[in-house]
Amino acid sequence: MSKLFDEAKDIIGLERDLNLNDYEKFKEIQKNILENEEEKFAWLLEALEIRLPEIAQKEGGYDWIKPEDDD
Amino acid sequence: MSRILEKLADQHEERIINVLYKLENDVVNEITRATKGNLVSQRLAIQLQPRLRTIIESTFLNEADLLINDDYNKIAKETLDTFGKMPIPAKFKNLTDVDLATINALKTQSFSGFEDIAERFLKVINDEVYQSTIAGRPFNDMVSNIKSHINGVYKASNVSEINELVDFVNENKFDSAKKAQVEDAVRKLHTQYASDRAGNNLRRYASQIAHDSVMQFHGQFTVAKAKASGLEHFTYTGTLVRDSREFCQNMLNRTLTEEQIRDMWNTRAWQGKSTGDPFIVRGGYRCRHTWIPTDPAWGEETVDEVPTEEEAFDETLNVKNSSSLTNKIKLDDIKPVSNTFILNKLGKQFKENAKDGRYPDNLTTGKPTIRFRSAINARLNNEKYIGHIKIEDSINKKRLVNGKPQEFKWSEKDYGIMEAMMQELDELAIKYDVPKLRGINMASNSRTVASMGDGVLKLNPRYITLDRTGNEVSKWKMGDSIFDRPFTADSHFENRLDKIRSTYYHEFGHHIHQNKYNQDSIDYYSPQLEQDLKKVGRFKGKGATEYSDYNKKEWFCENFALYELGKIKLVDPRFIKFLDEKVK
Repeated sequence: MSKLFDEAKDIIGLERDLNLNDYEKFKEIQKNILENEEEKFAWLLEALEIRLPEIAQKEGGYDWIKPEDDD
Repeated sequence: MSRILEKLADQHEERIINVLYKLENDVVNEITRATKGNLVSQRLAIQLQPRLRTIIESTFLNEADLLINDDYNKIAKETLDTFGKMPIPAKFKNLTDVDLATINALKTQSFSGFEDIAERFLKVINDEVYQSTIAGRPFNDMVSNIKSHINGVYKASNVSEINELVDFVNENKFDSAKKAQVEDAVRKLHTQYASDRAGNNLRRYASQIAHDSVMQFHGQFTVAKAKASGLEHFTYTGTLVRDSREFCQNMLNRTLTEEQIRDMWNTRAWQGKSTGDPFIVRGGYRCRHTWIPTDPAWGEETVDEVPTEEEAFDETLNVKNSSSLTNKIKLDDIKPVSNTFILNKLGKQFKENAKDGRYPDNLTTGKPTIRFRSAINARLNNEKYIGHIKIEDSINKKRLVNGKPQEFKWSEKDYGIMEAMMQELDELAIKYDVPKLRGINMASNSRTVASMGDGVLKLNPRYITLDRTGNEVSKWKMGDSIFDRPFTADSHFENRLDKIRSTYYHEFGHHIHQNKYNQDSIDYYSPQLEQDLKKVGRFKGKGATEYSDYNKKEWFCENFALYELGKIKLVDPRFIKFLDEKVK
């Protein structure tokens, strides 16, 4: 795994609730992820998706999701 | 005939509900007497166990025994009276030794159903007492929890307004004219107990079993008697109520052969259908209908055709790819189905599933409570999402194939898999006592492999199609280096369908931790099981996949998929312990 992948993995593995910083950092990593890691990264996206309500609870909604990130 | 049965079924349900209040009272009195209202010690918790068993036996099981021994003879007599009016030889109209043996066997079988739930809830109550000693839980909290385990939101309360609501529900729940007021009172009760998470209470199961046992006893005795008499035709009999199933509405008063009935059961599905013999389970849980034997030769009935799909079973309610947890469909048996078929079929199912009361509504807006971004975005954009299915092909604009963006398409076989998997997931929902899924969704530009939230499964054709699934199999086993583990659970399966199945099951694991025990919006935003998962200790390096290390929810889902798909040797024992203690 690349260093970037591991960084993303660490974010979705955080024991505490995720926050907006974590999300933004994850999305920055996503932009640079290698093509041969895309399939596994799709699972990290799954883990992130499951944890998004943690951020929404803090932020009071999902306004922070950028349009290009929409499914 | 059927009205008498209905009355008995309602009476039994009422009597069981009443005895549960005595049980609640006796259990609380016994614990209060033994502890004098103080914290329970471990020694006392153990000493209390046989006493609690005696109370359950002398109240709940005693009442079940009375119901069965007194009233089931009445049901048998009604059946014999029905046979007595038939133009059949006299020897089939009388009570024979074989009938008596059948009746006794069926009574024992019915009683064992009550024993099973008594045993289950005795353990729940014992665990509550014992855990209270370990956790140092205040006495009043422990008592409140025990009451909830027995009667849920209908438990006795110190607040007179709550007791009035409970009384109103209990007195009028069988009065169809007051259905709306009863529903309103039930809603208020759930609001009063907003923090009460005791979703699986004894009352819920006991009242259902009291009702269904009457109907099932009648069904079994009648079909046994019919077979002995050589009768092979049956008329679907009973009355309709406001929420009668569509199946029951369409079948009412139809006369079919046993072969037609069994064939229909094996090939068709309908909302609320339960597994089992068609003569016993009939339309499903709490069904008020029965199959009464007849013979067209008597000139009273003619044999009907099995209702055509158009008139009785919408074509989409046909099962083209039948599958269950005990008899999972194999890849070679998957039949292709059209996009229209799957959209219509699952669309209808999801619409029905969305009505499940375990999906709470927002009390202010009256709309379903939602917490995941896709559902919220859809609501903001006025798009259908809950109770809806959307499956699109996918395009990767960044990757060109022959000068065109790469496309990922669902095939008709993939839709067939979807049909089969949803049956298995519905059974998992029943098994784990969570609401059935209420949607499938995935937009064309998604990069997420799959996901789950708000009871809606998201699937990505870039990954979850036969076309995109490989054949590589991991030989990794427990004890091998954790650095050699495959990335995800699908790698532990040989064929492509099982690999895809493992992803469906993984996602359903998320549905369980998101929805188990939820009773209201407060639970929904902070599910009990997710709180419990946070307390799980060391889990990294213990699972059979790398992904199970990534966080506790994924650990839960990876192990859940392997566990439910029979790869027990690859399941982390801590997961099984967690499942036994917190989920089942």
